[in-house]
Amino acid sequence: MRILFIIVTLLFQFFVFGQGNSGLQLTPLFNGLPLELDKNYILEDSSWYKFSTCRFYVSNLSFFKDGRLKEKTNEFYLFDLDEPSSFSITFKNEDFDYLSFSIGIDSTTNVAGILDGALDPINGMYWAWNSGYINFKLEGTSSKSTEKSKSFEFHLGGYLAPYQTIQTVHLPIRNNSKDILIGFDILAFMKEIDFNKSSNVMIPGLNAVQISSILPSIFTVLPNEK
Amino acid sequence: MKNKILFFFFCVFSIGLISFSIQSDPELIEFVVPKKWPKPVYNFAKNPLTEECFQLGRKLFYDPILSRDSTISCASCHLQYTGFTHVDHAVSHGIEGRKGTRNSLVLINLAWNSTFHWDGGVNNLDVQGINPIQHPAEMDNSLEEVIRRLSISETYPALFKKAFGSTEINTATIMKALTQYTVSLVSSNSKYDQVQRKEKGISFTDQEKNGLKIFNTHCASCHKAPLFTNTFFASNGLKIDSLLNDVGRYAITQRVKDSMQFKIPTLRNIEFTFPYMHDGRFRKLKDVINYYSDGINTKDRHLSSQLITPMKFNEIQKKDLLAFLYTLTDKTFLYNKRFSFPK
Repeated sequence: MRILFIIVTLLFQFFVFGQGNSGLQLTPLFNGLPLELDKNYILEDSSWYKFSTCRFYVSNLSFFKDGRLKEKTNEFYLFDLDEPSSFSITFKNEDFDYLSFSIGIDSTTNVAGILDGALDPINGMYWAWNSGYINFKLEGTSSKSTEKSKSFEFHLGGYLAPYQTIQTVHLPIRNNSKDILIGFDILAFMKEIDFNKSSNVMIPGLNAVQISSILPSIFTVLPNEK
Repeated sequence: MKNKILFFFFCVFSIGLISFSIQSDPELIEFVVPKKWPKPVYNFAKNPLTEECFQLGRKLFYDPILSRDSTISCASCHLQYTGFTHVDHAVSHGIEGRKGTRNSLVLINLAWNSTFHWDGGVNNLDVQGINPIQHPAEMDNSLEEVIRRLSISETYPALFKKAFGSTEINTATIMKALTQYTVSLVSSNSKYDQVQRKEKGISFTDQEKNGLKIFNTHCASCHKAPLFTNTFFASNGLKIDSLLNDVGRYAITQRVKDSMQFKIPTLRNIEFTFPYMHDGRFRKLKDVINYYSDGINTKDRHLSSQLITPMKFNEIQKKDLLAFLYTLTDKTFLYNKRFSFPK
C-alpha cells in the first residue's frame, strides 16, 4: 500500500514538474531589502515609511525570443503582500530571452461585467461607482505625506481615454530553467511621487496616470542562486 | 406476482423522476425584443436567461437581507408601480434614514443601455448591483457579508443550485441573478406603442397628436423613440445645487467637456416617476415642461447646444405635450405580476 502511494506520488510529481515548468516569483523590496508590511523603515535622511497594503494585478505575461512572441498567458494574477504565497505563476520552459507583463487590467476586461477568481470585486481591487479595476494599491504612513495623519493611499486605476493607467514591464532575461525572481522596489516608487501634489489618489485621472507611469521602472530581475 | 411487477415499475418510475428532477437543467427563457426595436446592448450569451435564475434574482431584489441592518431591499427605492423608482423622494434613501445625493433612477428597458447611473459610472449591468449594496448611504453592506448571509440561509443555497448548478454563492452568481431580473424589466406596451403597432381601436387624440409634433421637434433628438432616450449624456443647464455640488459625468471621466452632464433618462412611464431631474428638484411634470420652455439659462456654459434656442411653449402647447407624455404610461408593465413581490 505504501509503495503504491509512493509510486502515485512520484508519477504525480513527474506530470506536474517533469514537463519543464518553472515559476515566476515577485519579491517586494524596500531599498534593496525584502519589504515587510507594518515595519517602520527609517532612512539616513530621517524620512520614514510604513506600509499596510500592497496589492496589484499582473496580466498579459508574454515570453519572447529574438523579438518574436513564444508564449502568452491570458491569466490575471493578483499579488497581495499580505498573502504572497497566493501568488504563483508557472510557465513552460521554452527558450526565451525576454519577457513582458502588464501591471493592471486591460480595457476589454474592465467592461466585461462580473468576473470571478482574481477578478472578483470582493478582492477589494474594484471600483463599483466608476466600474473598473484598481490596478495597483499601496497604503501606509510616511513622513513624506502631507496629511495630518501622515497617511497615504494610492489606488491607481482607470481605463478610459485619455487616462489609461495600465503599464507594461519589459525585462530581458535568459531562460536557464530556474524560477525567475523579479523584484520591485517600493522605495524607488515612493521617491518618484510628488507628495506636494497629493498623498491620496483614489480616482482615475491625470494624477493616477502620472504615478502609474513610475511603476515599470521599479521592476528588476533578481539573480536566482538556487 | 402482479403486485411485485407493479412495485418494480413504481420503483423505476420514482428513480427516473428523482434523477430527472435532480439533473434537470435550468429552463431557458427567451428575451423578447419588441418589434422594430434595436438590438439589446446587454450580452445575454454571458448570462443566458433561465426561469430559475430570473426567479432567484427577483427574490434577491425584494429581499432586505442585502442591506446591513436588513431593513431595505432594492425594491425600497425601485417600486414597480412607479416605474421602479422611488416616487415622491427627491434623493434616494438608505438604511437608518440616510440620504443619497441623487434621484433614484427608473429600471426600465435596461437591456438597451451600456452605462448606468446618472453619471454613467457603471459600465455593465452585471456590476451595477454592487453599488447599492456597498454604498454607505444605501445598503451599507459588504459583499462578504451578503455572501455569508445567503450561504447560511435556509432557502438560498438550494435556489442557487437550481440556477447555477452549485450551492456555492459568490459575487458573480449574485450579480448575474439580480441582472436576470432587472434586464427583464421591459416596458413596450404603452398607448404610444399600441398606436405604433396600429392596434385596433387605439388612436391618439388630437391633443396627443399635437403633443407628439411638439415632442418630435423639441425633445426627440435626446429622448429618442422607442427607448425615449438616446442613452447618452447632456447638460440641460440646471444650476448646480450648492449643497450637493454634483458635477455629473465629469466625476467619472475627468474630462472638462463632461462637466454637468447627466444621463438622458427614458421618458417611459414618466407620469408616475416623479420627482424629476438628477436631484429630484421638480415635483411635477408640468414644472419640467415649464423649465424647458422658459427656465433654461441659455448663457450657461455647459448647456447642450440643442437647448440654446428657447422653446417658449404657449399654455396649450404645454398641455398637448403633457398629454403626449402620458401616452408613454404602460400599465401592463407597472402591474405585471411576473415582476412583483414573489409570494
